[in-house]
Amino acid sequence: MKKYLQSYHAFLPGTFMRWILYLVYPVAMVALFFVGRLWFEQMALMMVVPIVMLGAECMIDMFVFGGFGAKGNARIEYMMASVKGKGMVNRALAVDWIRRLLYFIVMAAFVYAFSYWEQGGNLDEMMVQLFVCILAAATFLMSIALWVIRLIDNRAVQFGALYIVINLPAWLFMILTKKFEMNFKWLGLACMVLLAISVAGQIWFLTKKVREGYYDV
Amino acid sequence: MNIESILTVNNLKKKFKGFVLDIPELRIPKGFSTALIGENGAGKSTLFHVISGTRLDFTGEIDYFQGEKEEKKIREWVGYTSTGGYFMPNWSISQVGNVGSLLFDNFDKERYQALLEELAVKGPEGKKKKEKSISKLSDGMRMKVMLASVFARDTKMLLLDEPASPLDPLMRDKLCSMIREYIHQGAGEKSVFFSTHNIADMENVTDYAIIMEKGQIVEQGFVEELKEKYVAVKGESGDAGKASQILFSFQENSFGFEGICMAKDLDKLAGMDVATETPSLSQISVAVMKHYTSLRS
Repeated sequence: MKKYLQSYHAFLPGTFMRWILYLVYPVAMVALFFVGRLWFEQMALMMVVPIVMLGAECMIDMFVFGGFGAKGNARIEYMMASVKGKGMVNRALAVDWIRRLLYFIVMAAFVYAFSYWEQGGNLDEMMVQLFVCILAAATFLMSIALWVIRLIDNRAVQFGALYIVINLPAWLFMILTKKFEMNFKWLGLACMVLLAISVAGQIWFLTKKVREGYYDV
Repeated sequence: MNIESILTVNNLKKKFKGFVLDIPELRIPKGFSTALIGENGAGKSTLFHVISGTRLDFTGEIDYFQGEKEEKKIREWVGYTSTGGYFMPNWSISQVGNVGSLLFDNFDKERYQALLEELAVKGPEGKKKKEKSISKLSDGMRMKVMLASVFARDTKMLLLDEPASPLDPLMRDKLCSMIREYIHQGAGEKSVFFSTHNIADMENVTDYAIIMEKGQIVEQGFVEELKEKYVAVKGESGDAGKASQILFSFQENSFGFEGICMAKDLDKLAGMDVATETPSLSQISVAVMKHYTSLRS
């Protein structure tokens, strides 16, 4: 466990990023939920929190693995000269996604539990399905944005990808549910499956980039 | 003199973007400091990439530490610095130390911190300043961090690719001292193999020289042997025509001519008014590189 965390922390740009990742960011999301309740209805807030988290995760990743898969960037010779280099990258990428998914799950559980308590146990099933669907969709779209952020070493393009995915969930949701009358439950499930494929593919692709660094041709 | 080799290369070939590295045999003597000299594009970095294990697309055999086969031991015992993307750009100097501890079992963090102070990369621990990221450091500072990271490890061979290039004269002198101390402390068990395109800066720390041109080794030997093999010659303008046919490298100037002659051809200069002296390694390297470049052009 310690080795995994150390590998992940090796990619964080400075101690301040650990403060942001482990303290500022989670506290800000919880604060957003409570403050947001003063202005937004429950349903709107359930949509806002995942999308804000999506944006925050993309921003953080720009400074951690941003551009890592771009041509030549995975060729870090300090790591390549050691037999432990490839393993370190694999562990860092895995811990990064575990942390991210854990944050989403914990935040979702918190939002659900608080709403359940607030509603006296009478949560609308449709609302719950909607919330899970939004969460799954946001996480999946975030994984797509991370493909761009990690493969293109250009801040403008990375911010462009971030902008698109922040706006995309609302549009897609309206199109898929209103026009195609898609069931929330199946949409959420589909997003979870796609998320799993996207995450696995991304880790595989980036570790492949590290392996390719050992070859000039 | 039977000298042990710390590194032996046989039939090494690597093709890269129209360039071919072709080395039938290469031996790095153990317990000495070896310089790999060559002009830009000669293949020095390509050779170092292969030896350091950061490039695997080559054919041939490399024998490390007289037959050591365990990859982990080899990588632990080799301290490598390069000219390319060595660190992650967003790493701080302290992070380099943390990552070093993860990557190498023999990395000494305290020694690393001490070296950073010794090389004036950062001040003593009592005077903490905000650390810059690697990307914001100058080339010279980045090289100092690289050197600190390899000298902080308990290695048996240092593989330094153009370590002197980005350094100021004072730091180059310091580097030479560090290399001499490293070899002295090793008592014959530690070796240094470094590359340079300007040997004048590192000549006083070079025991063995290998000269490379267009991916091939064109000359090699202990410095003292090379200085016996080649002779620096200066002569009058009147003898320039005849001397140009004999000298290994030849250059006319306003006083006459000067160049390098093979010691075995010295008797061919009989009858000419010439002065001879022992050439520097820098003069020998330039002469050899010029000679082989002209043959291939």
